[in-house]
Amino acid sequence: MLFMTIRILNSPGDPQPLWLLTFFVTFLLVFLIWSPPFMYDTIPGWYQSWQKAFMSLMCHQQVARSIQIRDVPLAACSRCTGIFTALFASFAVSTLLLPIFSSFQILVKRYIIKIFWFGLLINLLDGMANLFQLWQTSNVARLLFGLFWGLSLGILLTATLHTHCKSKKNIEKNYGTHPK
Amino acid sequence: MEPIQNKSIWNASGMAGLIFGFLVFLITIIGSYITINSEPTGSLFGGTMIASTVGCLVGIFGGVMGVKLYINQFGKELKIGKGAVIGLATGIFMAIISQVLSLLWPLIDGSFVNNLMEAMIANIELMEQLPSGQKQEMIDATYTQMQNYYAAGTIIKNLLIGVVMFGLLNMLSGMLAAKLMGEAPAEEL
Repeated sequence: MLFMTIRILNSPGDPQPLWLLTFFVTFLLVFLIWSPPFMYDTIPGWYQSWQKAFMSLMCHQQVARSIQIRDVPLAACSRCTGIFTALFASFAVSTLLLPIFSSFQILVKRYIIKIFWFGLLINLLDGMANLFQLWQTSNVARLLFGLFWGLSLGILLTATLHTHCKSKKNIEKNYGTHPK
Repeated sequence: MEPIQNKSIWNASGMAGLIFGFLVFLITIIGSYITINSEPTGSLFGGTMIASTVGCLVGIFGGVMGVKLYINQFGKELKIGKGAVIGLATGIFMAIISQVLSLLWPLIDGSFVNNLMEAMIANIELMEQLPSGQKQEMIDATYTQMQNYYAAGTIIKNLLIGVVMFGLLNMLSGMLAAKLMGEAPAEEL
């Protein structure tokens, strides 16, 4: 499986630099979010951290809505933590499982965009409802909503980067026997 | 023989960067005025933070617009790599434009930086969950940060953060836009 994945990633048609760059960007986001509690001991330390400065461009970073480790919040709220963690995880896992993933390209094409929009809609609705105090979801619920959307986003990115692996037949033709 | 068309990305990404850079600046400045004109609540979740979030949500569509403008100009045929480059360039333009406008705004409203600093400090002072020592540390940090609004180090730091975050995020959105709106060139199929 790993061997086939490496072969697919090394094939001339696949955009290896883009794959590496996407992997780097998604990993960087996860690192920025999760590292503060392991580098700072207090909230003022977190407040002045470079991780918070970077993530402030994309997250409100409200302390009460963030997961805290050792009383220090992560650099993003629980929803954004879910989105970006799942984005990295699903991108990495679906790339690792590329030979199998490629067999489901048609299913992925058919459903993933719908799931992506559905996830975005749930998060927008819940975010707006929380903002205007219609209801308040817990941090765990926000994390789960974020995970759901991030999952679809990661798979969508994999599908975008590995467009030429369209079918099992194509995989077998280009890369040898498909794994059973 | 068909003339060779120079498919430059600069028009599309420059235009998208200009529009979205202005939008991000506009949202940030509106958020800042919400913070200034609100009663302090003791929450860090002020207008500035709401603006940062909305600004970013708007900001990540810069790459999409860049790709759309490129498609309008040269047709649907583009590789996802080109979409990524258009997104990256758009993000860099956006960061530069929003940063320049942020530096120019205090020349229009001379008391902007001071008012924003006072509003942020008033919010920190009302934070009940923090011990007073930590509260003071945060107030000092905010004071130093706002006093250095025009310092070269602060400008370079903010520009770098904007270029990295907007550049990388728009690279991803440009890539997705190229996939969803464009068509792969024949040799890719």
